[in-house]
Amino acid sequence: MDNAQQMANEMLGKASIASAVFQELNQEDTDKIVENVFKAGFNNRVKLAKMAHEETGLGVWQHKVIKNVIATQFVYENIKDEKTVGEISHDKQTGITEIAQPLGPIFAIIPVTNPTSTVFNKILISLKTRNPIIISAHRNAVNSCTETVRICYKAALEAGAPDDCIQIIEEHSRELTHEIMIHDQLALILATGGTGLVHAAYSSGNPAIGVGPGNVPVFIDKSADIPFAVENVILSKTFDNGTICASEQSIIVEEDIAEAVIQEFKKQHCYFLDNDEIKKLEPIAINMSKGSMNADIVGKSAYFIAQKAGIEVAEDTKILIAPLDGIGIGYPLSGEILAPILSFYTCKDYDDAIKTCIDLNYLGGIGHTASIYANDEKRIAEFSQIMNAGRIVVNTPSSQGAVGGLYNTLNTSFTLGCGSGGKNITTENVSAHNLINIQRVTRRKPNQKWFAFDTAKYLDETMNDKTIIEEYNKNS
Amino acid sequence: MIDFKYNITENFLNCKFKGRMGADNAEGLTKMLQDKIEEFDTDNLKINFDLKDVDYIASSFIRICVLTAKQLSEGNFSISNTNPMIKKVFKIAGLDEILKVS
Repeated sequence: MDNAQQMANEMLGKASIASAVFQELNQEDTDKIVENVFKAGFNNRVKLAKMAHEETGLGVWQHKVIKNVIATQFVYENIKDEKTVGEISHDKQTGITEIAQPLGPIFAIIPVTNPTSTVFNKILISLKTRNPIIISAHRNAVNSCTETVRICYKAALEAGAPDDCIQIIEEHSRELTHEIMIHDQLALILATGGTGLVHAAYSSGNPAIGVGPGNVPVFIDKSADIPFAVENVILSKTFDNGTICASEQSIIVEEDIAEAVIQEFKKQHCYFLDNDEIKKLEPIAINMSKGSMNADIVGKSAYFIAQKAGIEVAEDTKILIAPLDGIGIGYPLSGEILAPILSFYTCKDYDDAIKTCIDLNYLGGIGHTASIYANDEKRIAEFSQIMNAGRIVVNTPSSQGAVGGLYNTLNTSFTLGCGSGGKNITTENVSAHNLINIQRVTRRKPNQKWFAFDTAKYLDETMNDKTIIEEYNKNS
Repeated sequence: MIDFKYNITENFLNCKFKGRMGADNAEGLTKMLQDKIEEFDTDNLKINFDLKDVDYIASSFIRICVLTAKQLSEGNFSISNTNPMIKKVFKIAGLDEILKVS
């Protein structure tokens, strides 16, 4: 047995005992633990945000504080009154009683872009459902995640949680991650990370809830309030320097409002690149051989990226905007970039704009999030029907809107399911209710029609559907 | 009845369709198209299906698109003026790039 296997066995052994003990707790015990962990996390929101910022070099620490607030205060508010232990529903009419049971040990993959906040989020929903959790942090965020785990674990124990209910891989190891993923004592993988990692989770043989990449198109309709739309896009795309995967990637407008939108972005300190500048930015923003974003510009400011690309911009530039006339191969900036860079499409009419949104939606962001600014309900409905996105955010900053809690009543979560388009099992914002096995106790409620019907008639080949269904429903 | 018109300029055949491209007349349409295509040297022929006035396509019509494209040199078949829903149909079917759908 190699070292990674042995380590996996030890961690899963401890987690399994924690899982067993967890089953003895009732809703009140569980809620007390969750509340204590929420409070500890919330009270360390600033320290951990600064740690994550310093360690990863990504984003804006003040925004990471807000992410920690979302992942503690808002996640807690979202789940605190949810029934997750024992009988959660009983319907006399149907005779069905639902009982919530924990899943067992959960393995949580944590991305570098939202490290401490995703740890908080996953710990809270796991504890709320009496599941022990093992954290695997991105190699560039191990220290801040380890400190987050330490704080949460201490608070959990103080409130009566079982030993080893929260563990973390303190030294990043691909081998150990793999061994845990495939371990037969593991119940579920909660994978928030790159496509490769999510694919590995789904291929492990254990159940997994993964997420897909985004490529969020933003359609600004003629009926939109343009200054409001632009202000909200900027608010979202600059939030933690664009590290949330639901952040806007492209702006799509019809040509008769294009100039007004461009002027509004310029007025609000965004910079439109010319063709030469786009060429300079492409190899800086994108790994041209792989076609994916360059890790060293992720979560950096627009000014930093412009400097790196040799483009002169004002220091207070909020977003670099690349007007493009194509999508996909040959247009590297049309894909997902988790940094303050947007592509911009001017389309000849409404149909052309929606078709552009479809192309962008299908360029690596299927099932994730799409955004529309409009005051025309018909267009909002049409856009929503046609996009393949788990979340359609309307007149809302996409980053903060998609994670729920601040701008809408979506479940608050940093794990955003993308459905089958993103190769995921759900389109939901993953929360506590995704982490329970629901048992259905069904009482005898005989189907009277069945018992009144002569079932021998099913064996008679001369009787067709019309005759049998009429007979079956007779006198009912 | 499928409403189908075409115009020819040099080696370019532009076919305009109207209404619902259902399964009912697929056979007739296939024959009409086939007869027309056979008048040309398919190596140099370019065909465009203009779907400006089409609001529904059945799988039989998608099949006609694919079969028509296969008879031509690579890149010589295109589909234009789709409405967003029909564009999405080709996108989901994974045919939007190969059939040059716009």
